[in-house]
Amino acid sequence: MRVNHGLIGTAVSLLMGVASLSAQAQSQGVSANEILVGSIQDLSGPLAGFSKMAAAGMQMRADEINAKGGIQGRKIKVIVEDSAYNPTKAVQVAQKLVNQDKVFVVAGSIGTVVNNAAMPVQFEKNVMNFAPLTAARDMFEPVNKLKFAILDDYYGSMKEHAPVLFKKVNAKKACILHQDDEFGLEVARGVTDGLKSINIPISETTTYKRGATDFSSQIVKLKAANCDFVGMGTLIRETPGAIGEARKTGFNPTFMGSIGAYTELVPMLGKEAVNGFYAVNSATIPYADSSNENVRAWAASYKSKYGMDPQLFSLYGYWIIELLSRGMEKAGANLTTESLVRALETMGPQTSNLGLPPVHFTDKNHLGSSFSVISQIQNGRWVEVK
Amino acid sequence: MLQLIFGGISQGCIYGLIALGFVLIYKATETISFAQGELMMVGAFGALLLTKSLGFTYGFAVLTAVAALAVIGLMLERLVIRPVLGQTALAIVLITLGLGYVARGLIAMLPDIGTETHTLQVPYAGKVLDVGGAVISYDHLMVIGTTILVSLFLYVMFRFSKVGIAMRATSQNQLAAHYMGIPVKRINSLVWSMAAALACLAGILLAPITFIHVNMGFIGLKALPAAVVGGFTSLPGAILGGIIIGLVEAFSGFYLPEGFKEVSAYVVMLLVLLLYPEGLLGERTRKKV
Repeated sequence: MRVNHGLIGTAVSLLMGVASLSAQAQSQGVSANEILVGSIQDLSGPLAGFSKMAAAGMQMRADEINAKGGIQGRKIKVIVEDSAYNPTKAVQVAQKLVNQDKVFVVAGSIGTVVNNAAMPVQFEKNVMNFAPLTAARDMFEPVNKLKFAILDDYYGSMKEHAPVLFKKVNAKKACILHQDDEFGLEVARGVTDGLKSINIPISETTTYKRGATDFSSQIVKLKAANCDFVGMGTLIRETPGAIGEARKTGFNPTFMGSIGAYTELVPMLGKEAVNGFYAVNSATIPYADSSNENVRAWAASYKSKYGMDPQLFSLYGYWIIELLSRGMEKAGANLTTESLVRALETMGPQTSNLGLPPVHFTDKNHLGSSFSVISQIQNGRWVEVK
Repeated sequence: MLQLIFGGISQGCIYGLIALGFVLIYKATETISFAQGELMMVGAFGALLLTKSLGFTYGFAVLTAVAALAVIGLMLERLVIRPVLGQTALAIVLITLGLGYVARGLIAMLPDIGTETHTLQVPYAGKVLDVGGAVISYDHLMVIGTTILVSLFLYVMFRFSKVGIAMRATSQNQLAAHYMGIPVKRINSLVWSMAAALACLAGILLAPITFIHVNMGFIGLKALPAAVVGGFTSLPGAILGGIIIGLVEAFSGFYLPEGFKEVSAYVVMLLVLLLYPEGLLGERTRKKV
């Protein structure tokens, strides 16, 4: 009997085509007993202090959920990659997460430039970018089914609070010092537009490059402009670095930072020099002796797991996995990117008893929270100011 | 104005101290060590560990860290550089680049310490001096003072001590120096050791100003233009180059549009290379053909 190789070949390729089609209907990274969650952190660059905490918090919540049987019987596996806060490297690790590890969702990635570099890679494979640790508007605008953000944005929060604080401290002249990148520009625009609403122009704007260590000429410039209010688009090291330089030279205006500078590391590094520094914040730092007993209990369990006190980013990491798991639970057994999007958009306001603002996504709004307040460093500790 | 000058000079002294290391090594082995910045970082971490974990006093920690780095420099020359001597200069350059990566990787692997940013507790923290309306902090005064002392020490050593004269002879002509009975290999080890010790000193002085973290060594990229401007073969040139770069940065940051501060060091380097290819204080060498 003659075998028709051509026919068999066609049949096989057709079958394979059907098989791959059905595989596509199910999202990558979700198997019978596991859900893969990727996260791009900065483990070796200037944001490493934040990232290690965030990764620890994410892992802690994932372990707790897994210990109780996981989500619909599936365990959460968090895969952390290092971007060194470098967009080029971010693209590479995003490709690894999406194409090699085949993660279902990327959550809690840190840094504006990193997320902006990684998102196109993820979106090509229909992988959602959930709750990135940056408050840039790009994280939820324009509305995209794959973008969900939970941090009140730099622009909006600075625009809201800068004029309030400016009036509160009776300032007369405003200046801006910001990092020369997307993050710094967002803060600068927020301060500029906020102060414009009370007819205060920006007298001087000065910048620095990511990773800069010498702020002497910037501070001389701000001092020469006689500013008594400085909006700062700075992060961890640059905040105490610049304020320290200012204090040394006898320049003592009101310094106001963004959500990016609200961290325990600023008083830790800056010591007395940063007392009096203001910053915007949405969540509250989970101090081990917090007045909120839930926070105290949570901080104690974190400490027993990792041997150190949690920081704000530990709490963010924990909350991100918690929110994601609530969404995945609601999406049900047939977990796909589409079912997760629907679940997140329809699950209503989500609250936490750990001092975090409520998060509420809708199909029109993927910024889950636009709540923020102003805090000040007093005696080495962040205190909310009314 | 005075403030800018002070800031520029003290920042320039840091560049100068690191550049001294570049020049020392270049004179001895005719190659550039790109690990200078990382040696500086390792030195700063060393001082941090000694004060924080072992409870050393600041002064003792500084001495111990500088001595430890001198030993590390010695070992680097003996174990890594000497085996490849005779290879092209590029090979040694690449090895030093690799050493820098390894140093950053190793420090980053230190649990709980490596990836964090730290402050080094210094006895003069936060103190300032008022000079004619400009304020100069003790951090910066320490940098300037130490640079002057180091320069004096190096001058005296190279001018009067036997070792210093042997180093000068070696840098001029290794073969001739060898024939004259100078232990060239040992001199080279000593040069690497001194360069590492200098880098450590620079790191410790820089710590109160920029904090200690694994990427602080990248400041070496600014010290390289300082060495080039100074002439790469001249020790006073390295300091002068550093101060010029520091001042140009300070003034361009104030008077020129945003962004010029960061590129000004390299613009100065290019200008000097165009106008004075041997650098400001470099040796004029002419080969007869």
